[in-house]
Amino acid sequence: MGSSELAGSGGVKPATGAEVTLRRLAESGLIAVATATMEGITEANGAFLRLVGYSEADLAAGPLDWRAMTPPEWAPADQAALAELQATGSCTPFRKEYWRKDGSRVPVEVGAVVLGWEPLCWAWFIRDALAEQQAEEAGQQAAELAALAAELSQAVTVAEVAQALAGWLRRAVGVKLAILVEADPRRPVLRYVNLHDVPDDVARQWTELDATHDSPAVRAWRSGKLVFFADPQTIDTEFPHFAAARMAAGTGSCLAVPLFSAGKVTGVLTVTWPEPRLLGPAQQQFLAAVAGYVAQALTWARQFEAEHAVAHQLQQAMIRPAGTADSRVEVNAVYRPATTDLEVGGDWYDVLTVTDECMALIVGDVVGHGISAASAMGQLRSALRGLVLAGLPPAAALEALDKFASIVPDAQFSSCVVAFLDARHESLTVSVAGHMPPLVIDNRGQASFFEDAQDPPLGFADAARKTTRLHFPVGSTIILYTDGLIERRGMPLDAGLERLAVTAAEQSGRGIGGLSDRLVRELVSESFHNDDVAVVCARLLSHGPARLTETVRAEPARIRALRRTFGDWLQAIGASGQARAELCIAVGEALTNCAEHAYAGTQPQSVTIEASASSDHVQVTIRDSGRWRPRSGDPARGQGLPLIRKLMDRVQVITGPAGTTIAAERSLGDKE
Amino acid sequence: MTGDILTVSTDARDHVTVLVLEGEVDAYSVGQLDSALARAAQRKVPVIIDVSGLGYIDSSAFRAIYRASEHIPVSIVVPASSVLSRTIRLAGISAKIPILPDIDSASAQAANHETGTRP
Repeated sequence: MGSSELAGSGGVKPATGAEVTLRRLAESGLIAVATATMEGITEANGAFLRLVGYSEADLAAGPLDWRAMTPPEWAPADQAALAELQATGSCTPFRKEYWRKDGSRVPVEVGAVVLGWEPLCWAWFIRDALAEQQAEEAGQQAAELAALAAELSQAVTVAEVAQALAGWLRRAVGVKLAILVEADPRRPVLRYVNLHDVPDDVARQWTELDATHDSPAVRAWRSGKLVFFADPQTIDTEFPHFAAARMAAGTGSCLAVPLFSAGKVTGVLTVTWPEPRLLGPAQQQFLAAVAGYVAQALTWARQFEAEHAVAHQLQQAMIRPAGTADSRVEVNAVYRPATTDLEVGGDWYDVLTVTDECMALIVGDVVGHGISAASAMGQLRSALRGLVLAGLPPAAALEALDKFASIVPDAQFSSCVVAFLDARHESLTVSVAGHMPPLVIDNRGQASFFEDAQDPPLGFADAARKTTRLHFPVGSTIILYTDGLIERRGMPLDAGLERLAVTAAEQSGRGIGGLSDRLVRELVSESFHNDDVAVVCARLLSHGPARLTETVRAEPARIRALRRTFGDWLQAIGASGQARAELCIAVGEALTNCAEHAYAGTQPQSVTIEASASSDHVQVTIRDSGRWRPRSGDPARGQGLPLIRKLMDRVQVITGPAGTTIAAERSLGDKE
Repeated sequence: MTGDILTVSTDARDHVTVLVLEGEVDAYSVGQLDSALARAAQRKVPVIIDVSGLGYIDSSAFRAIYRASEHIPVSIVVPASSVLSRTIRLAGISAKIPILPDIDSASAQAANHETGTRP
């Protein structure tokens, strides 16, 4: 029988007019035609047999079961068509699929007409809809890819890329798990990118990190080709060592696609489906295209993260204070970036020594985030440093900074607070440019906000800026901070300030060491803060002068008096008892040497002491215009200088024609 | 210059002389310590110098104590809490002069010393 004729299992029937027409249509081969009864397909033309992959012999062996040839999800459509057929004698063409003999599916469009009623007999007219479906799928895939591209373009970090991808794959491709691994550039391992999305035990076993360990991802990585395993049996045969994990994860099929960047495999996307599935060339190409998008997104994300790390480092370098040199003030500061960690913030702090008696404490906040905010911050900070070090008081420095801010992109509307702490006079001079009010904890532990010095933000001062002076007795603490410390979602600002006041009063009772960190820990949520935070705390420990300079005649009573003056000064700058005793002994020895030896036989001359304190050291210089006597042979004599050397951290003796200078340095704390 | 910034009290016990120093010993008050040590040396019993009450000491005092120790056993009592404790340990006399934290241990040490030198 020719392939263009109707082949059949049924006998020859008398031809009606309609049947002749049908037979001619079938013979033309233009369309697939099959004659069926409730038992099955009894006749079919070559076009039909080719479409469903059966042979004429198959048909000759008995009716083809059209129910069994229809995937279950299409059975209702068949039922509906039969009902329509019985009611009206024909059915409206509809879309369905057939199982081909080889198990694959073929999409078709089907119509039918009744040929006879007793028993019911009809003809199917079937059009191959594969090309159409492929075109539709291609359109849908293009739309899906566009959606993926859009989602990936929103993802900034590697983790976000992984997250966007996993969501999209579940939605668009119906995958159960999506695992993204990246090749370590230095070691032969593949690292998970999105482990949080995968149960630990599954992830660790299913896609091994060790690149010497065989897995779908490793194969894709090594070969640079897509690898696909269609069903559990294939997976278990290929990777017997994963059988248990595969079963636990309920994986039915698995695909691993290499990710290329600059011609090299930089990672692998592994996806699994819960059921076995066939993956046609078109779908494989589709997933390869997905991998292309992902590879690009990952490369950008890595680049972003690298730039971000650089910006962070820059910022950390920029906010590092110059180091204070005042033992009378204990300072503690901290900068904490936002936890979302997406962008560099614009907060900063600074602590500067302005004069011997004055220290500047600064906290500022540039509006916005990112490199431009960080850059504006760096410029404002440097400018303010220069202004303060040039001797401008807080208000004048901020007025000059107003002008500066107006020419720096992104610097306008920044806020800033400048506080000058004068230890000697126990005073605080504050100007505030649109910033959170400084918090002062007095020496009885009472907290109050310093609200008097409020002025507009930088670049917006329309009149001279205010300065407020506050008595700041020894034991008082000032806390400068940025809004990240007090702002919480859903909490009014006043409540945040109140919370800060209560917490700071409580925490400052435990000392200044680590106070900034403790405040951040208590007040800022660990899990959620999308703003950066800068805090500076300073407590006045004593109000002694930063320097001591005295010249006396080198005679016993004056030397004793000078020794005591020096001791009092050490106490005022906060030296420990032991440090005070030892520094006094060293100075006493030096002064006594001057008196006893330098001017032996002559009238007492003058001796000068100069002492200065840094944050944790004292430097002292004793200068006379004589010459120290060399050490004698008596072991008990001439112990002065050796003792000085033992007690001080550093000692230098310079003997010149003009006299002898002894310079010594010791830390302010106790020693073992 | 008077030495009234230093007080030296002498406690002549049976087998030991205890000198209690209070105030400051410097090059101008060390004479008082010298005299007290000279008197104590005549008793021919060990001398314990208690410096717990001192606020200042310098090399002239160490010199005086070192010289005295050439004639008679001398020990120094200084509690670890004293601001001078480190200075006394570093003064370079500890090889010859025991430094002890309290009078009782200094007395016990002095008694041992006596037994050891006069079997």
